Amino acid sequence: MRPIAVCIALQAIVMLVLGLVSHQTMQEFVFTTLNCTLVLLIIMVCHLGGAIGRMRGLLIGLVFPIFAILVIVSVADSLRSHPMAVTRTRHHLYYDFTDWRLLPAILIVGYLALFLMHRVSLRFTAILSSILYSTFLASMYLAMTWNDGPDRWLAVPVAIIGWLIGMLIVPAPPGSDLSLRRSFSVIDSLQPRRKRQVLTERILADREITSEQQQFIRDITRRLRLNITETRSVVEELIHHCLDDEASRKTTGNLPGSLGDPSTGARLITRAKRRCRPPIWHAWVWTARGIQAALALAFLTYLVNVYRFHTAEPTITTDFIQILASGSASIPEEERSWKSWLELWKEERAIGDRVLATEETGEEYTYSEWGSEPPDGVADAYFANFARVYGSLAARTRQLASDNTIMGWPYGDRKALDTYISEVGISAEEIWEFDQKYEEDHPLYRSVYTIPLPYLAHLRRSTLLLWADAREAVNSADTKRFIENHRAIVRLGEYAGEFPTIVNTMLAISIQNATFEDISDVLSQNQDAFTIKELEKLYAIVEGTREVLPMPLDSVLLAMNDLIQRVYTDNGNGDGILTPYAYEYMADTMVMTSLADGTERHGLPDHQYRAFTGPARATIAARRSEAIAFHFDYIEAAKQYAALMPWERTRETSVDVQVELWKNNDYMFWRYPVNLYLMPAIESLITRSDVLRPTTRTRALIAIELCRYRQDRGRWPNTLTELFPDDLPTWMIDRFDGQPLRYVLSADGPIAYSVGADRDDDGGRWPKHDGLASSWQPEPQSWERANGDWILFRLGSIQPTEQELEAMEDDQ
Amino acid sequence: MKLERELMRGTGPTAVLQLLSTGEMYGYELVEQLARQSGNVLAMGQSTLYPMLYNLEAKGLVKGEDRTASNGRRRRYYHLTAKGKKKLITDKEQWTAVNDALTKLGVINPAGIANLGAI
Repeated sequence: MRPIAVCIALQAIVMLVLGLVSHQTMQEFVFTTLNCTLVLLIIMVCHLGGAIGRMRGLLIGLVFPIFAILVIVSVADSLRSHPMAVTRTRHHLYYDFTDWRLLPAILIVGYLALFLMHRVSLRFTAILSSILYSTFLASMYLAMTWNDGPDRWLAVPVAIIGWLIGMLIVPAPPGSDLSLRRSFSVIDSLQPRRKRQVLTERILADREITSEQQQFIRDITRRLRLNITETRSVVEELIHHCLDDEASRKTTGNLPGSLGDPSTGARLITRAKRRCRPPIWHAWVWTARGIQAALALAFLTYLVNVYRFHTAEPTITTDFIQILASGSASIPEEERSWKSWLELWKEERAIGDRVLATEETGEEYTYSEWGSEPPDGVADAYFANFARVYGSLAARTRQLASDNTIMGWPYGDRKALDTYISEVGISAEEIWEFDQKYEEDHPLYRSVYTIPLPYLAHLRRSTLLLWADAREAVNSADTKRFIENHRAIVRLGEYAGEFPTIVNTMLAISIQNATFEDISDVLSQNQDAFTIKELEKLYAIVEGTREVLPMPLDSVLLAMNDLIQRVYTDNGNGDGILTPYAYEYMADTMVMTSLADGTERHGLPDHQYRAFTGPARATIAARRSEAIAFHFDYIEAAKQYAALMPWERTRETSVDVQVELWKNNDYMFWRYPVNLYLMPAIESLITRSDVLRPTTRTRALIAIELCRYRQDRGRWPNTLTELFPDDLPTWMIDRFDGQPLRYVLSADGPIAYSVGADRDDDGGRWPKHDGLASSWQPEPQSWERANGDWILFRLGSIQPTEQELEAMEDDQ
Repeated sequence: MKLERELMRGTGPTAVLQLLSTGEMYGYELVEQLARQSGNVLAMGQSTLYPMLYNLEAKGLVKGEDRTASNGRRRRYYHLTAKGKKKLITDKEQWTAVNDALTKLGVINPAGIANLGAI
């Protein structure tokens, strides 16, 4: 056992060194040491397998490490973002050594080299083993300390230790003069046969028994599988038997006693002697057998899972896109305007994003980048050119938005779209700029998550166009055009919301917010920009929008159900297992959203990584029915949360807090990969629709009402109740605390405001330093950037001026 | 007569226990006594005896002790344990029952000689 103990001790030193140089906290030290232990044990087992040079070494040296790689990579991958992981730079390099290219290469190539060389020359086997070990450990160490120059010299002693370990593993060649190495060989201690033979010869020496009896004893000893003590006991007993037999023969002249078959005898003696061993040995044998059986079963199960996983195919039975688009699909084609919008798109593309103004420095300004807020120095030229270049396009956009009730985009009907596109002469490559990644026969083709909606980008650009045109209209005192443009922008928001997905709803909110903010900003700067009648028209436009644009939570559930049917199998009873398409979609989504090449994460192309780890992950993943139920429960919880008034919500009722806990739980992420990967921060989406948007809407309404009151009475109201003496409309309730909006009339004019994120009335003051009073959290925020109010209306601009910001600095 | 292996496996342990019931013996002594007292019917080699002894030792029926003999040679002596004595009594009863059964069947005549004429 001494060589094994020395080997383990040396490896422990290496692990300690690696852990010490890479840790910043005790947790990191433990984490790194455990990982190093796992990796080094596997390396050692692989080398032992190769150095043993037997067929059973094949199992040890190849199969076990391959299976273990799965464990390492899966564990390492899931722990990659674990809080206990070492610093990003180091752990990135550390995991390079557990990635697919280096570790398997070392294990497999090293094993094969040792296996082959063992047959030829043990001397070279020892040399190769030591080189492999020292190189691996030194490289691993250098990777861990890549960014710390002074630590790198320790790679030398680490390499020496690696060399010693390598030398320990391989036995000395028979008859070599390296007697020291022989006594320290790990292999020798794992193969006691040689020691048994040495012991036997030592005991047989100078014993007066026949050569036949000696050979019999050697034959039995060679076949015994006992420890040295047991072997010695058996050998001596047999020798004494032979001596007694020899003495009897000499005195009585009898024939020598029968020796029997040595192989049968050795087998029976081994079995019988092992039965005499203490109970703890038997317990260990049965435990080891149980572990081997469990490992073998796990490996077989894994193989079965590999087969099941890679042959699993989903069955798509429900067209969820048609369900979601059923509202507009029922409208006759002649009452839908999508074709006209495509023609407008074509016209817009023909004009292009022209440069409307240029500064002396050479900076260029286009409306798609600067919208309605070009710098003062170029504003005149900007808007003059805008009217000339885009005026007619804006007019046609405005006209189209007022003509029809719905856009009625043919969701999912790619053929109808492509047919019309070619008829009107639009380039398919241009309109399908962000085309669907998947082929028509792919399960993820035409899913709710992957269906391309190119008209959304056009709606956004049309909003910018009308918004810039509206500002140009105000500048040229064409208030009628301003009003009509914003009426059209509101319609564009309704077009975006026709298809009830999160993306569409978010765009609808963003589009209509442009109107609310623009009306408020114009009135802040010029309270007399509109007549009372025009103010009433603006009021009707804004008040005609929904106060709260609810998040389509049912659509979120339908979208997930659609994805589930495309990445899970269907056994006909509503249940099934995960297929490779799930991981393919998640990887594609990550690449698209993070602009990162998946290869960087694993060292392998994603599809190869998925092919290996997918079956293991799919084993843990929830079945189809459970995944559907999980998402259903999540949406139900979100609905309950959304049903609360914003000021009633708390962290305890928060949905996002629960989601964050799930996402940080490795087991939950493995169990519900599809659900959690695509689970949006739904709480922030809910509050965007029922807190932030309504408050932005209120900005426009309060600005209109205050200006209308002033034009009507010749003064600003002293309180907001003067605007609505009977009952305050619901839009005047502060969504942050459920109380009426605050209002202050000072010498500088009126200030209407919400208490904002800190839920604290600061008298109509912005927070200091890039404040975030307009952000929302379940509970009042005490941090500095939220300490203030969300100004909804005041004269000049609702944003703090430079003087105000300087004053805030001085107050510190 | 050379016994079939299965018969030897069944009779050998009982025979060893019976010999040890008369006193402790070492391995070669057991081989000698077995051969002599059974008329060479239960003669066995080292490859058969020692596994049998070790099995009996594992079952706790016999116990071995290493001692130095009077001639200076170190030997391992086996003796019967209490458990072994009980086992011997049981085996004797069973062998007696087998003998009676075979006698009634005519396999063995009352004198203990196999009835070969019946074949």
